[in-house]
Amino acid sequence: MDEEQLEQTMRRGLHGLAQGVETHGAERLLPGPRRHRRTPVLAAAAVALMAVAGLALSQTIGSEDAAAPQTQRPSTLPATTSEPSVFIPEGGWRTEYWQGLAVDVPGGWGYGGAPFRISRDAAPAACRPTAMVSAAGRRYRGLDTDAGYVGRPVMLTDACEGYQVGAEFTPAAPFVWLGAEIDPGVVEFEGGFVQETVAVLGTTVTVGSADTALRKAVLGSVRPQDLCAAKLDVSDTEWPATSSGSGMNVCVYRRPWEERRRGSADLVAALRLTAEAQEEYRVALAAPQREATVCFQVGSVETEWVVLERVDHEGRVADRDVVHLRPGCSGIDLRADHLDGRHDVGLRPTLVAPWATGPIPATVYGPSGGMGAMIDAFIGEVGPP
Amino acid sequence: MDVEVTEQSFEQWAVPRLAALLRFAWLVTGSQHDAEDALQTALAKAQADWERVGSRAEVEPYVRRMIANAHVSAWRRFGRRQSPVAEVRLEPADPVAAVAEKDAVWRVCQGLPRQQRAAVVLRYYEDLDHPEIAEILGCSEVTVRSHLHRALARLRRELRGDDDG
Repeated sequence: MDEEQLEQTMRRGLHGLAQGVETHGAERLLPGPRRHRRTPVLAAAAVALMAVAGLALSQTIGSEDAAAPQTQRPSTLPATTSEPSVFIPEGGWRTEYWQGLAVDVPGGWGYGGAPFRISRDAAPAACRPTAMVSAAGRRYRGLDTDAGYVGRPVMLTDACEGYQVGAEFTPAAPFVWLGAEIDPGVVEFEGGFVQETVAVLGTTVTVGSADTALRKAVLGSVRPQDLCAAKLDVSDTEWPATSSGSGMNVCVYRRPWEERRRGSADLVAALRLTAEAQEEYRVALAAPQREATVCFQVGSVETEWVVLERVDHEGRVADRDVVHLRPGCSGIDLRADHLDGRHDVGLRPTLVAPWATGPIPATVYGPSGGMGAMIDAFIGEVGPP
Repeated sequence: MDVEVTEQSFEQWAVPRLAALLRFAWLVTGSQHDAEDALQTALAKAQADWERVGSRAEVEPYVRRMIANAHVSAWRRFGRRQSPVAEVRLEPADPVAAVAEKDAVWRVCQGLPRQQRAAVVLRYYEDLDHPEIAEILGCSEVTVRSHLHRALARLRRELRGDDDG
């Protein structure tokens, strides 16, 4: 294919993509006194949530970092913030999952990025090393660098910061990075901020904070996890029959785009849904379903899956639904027995809302480049700046 | 032409163009949310400067430049725009191939740095020439050519299905 043909392909592709943009209701973007600018407003529920999280946190460890979620600017929370549908144990700490490990973090912390290599030869960069999504899984409309966060090596935005200790990267908030591509060790920043990285269970955990007790508490909580399988073969039907959870687990798997021919995917996030969220999902499934889309999948390779596991009280996995997130061709494979299947029902906002919470909007790119009614459920094609 | 634009109200000018501007903003930013924010910001600025901007014949390029500039954080004053429109053959010969092509373009754009992506959209969607793109993005023409060359190289690899693409 010569240069001119490539240019024509690029033009056709861009025009085709542009035709898919949701433009209905664009009039609301017009400025003026009769128009609504999309300015975030603090919801009462968010105030309560943050206050409770912050209180419980300070009672638990008495740290200056722990107070950060309370002191952040409330106006950065969207009006839609609500109680999370993810299970958070009493005590104000929650558990985060990454590959084969689990680690406890302050319950009020949000989600963001962690250093990783965008390409094989590139130096580690973080896109982006601040909280971008709240603990409840709602996007911060403005960047709040004061909020603590759990970072994963996921490209949340194309606004990246080079990670070079002491130079380009200056931590502004406490964090836990899971799987960051940096060497184990301790880095001391000005002002008493310390970053500790340990290699554990085949990956890394990094804690950054000025609070020694907090760092010890987080690192001390690292342990093997058996909520979800740490790795799944894409076409393998031999899935684990048990889980340490009960009710419904949400397990997110991904294989990097650069390794899209790889036959396996790693666990990158997991959570336990509340009973209410499970019921919401059940009701959404029971509603009349739209027929699954017949998709052209030429050149389309799946790189991420969300697995919804139903687990009984004795820890036996009863069955699993696999959510396929192909661009323009997303849906749910009901009672699936492997990742590489076809979906039975098309994806709709009501089928996504119950589980697209907690880490999901900061971990899963989603089916449609962030377009449409599920815009806040996923990162989107390229996330917020 | 100047008189005609000046006599229009801001809304009379903006409403018919909203869909096209939003599509452009989406291509530049890569997400609906960012596109709406960028467009809203640009429209607010355009309205505030309506009398001044409206005295010029090229309000739409002004708004598009604001969108692109807001995204790459490189504000530059704009000059006149003279853009030869390239022929775009929108009808693909094979619908299956068209799906694959669009998917490949989507993935290429997804992986491009911010300025590179804006250059691609300005060139292959807006059909601006290299000096205009350089002025908007606040970089040299050589850089623009490099951005476009790299993007096309990525697209070539993507279409071939190279692992390192």
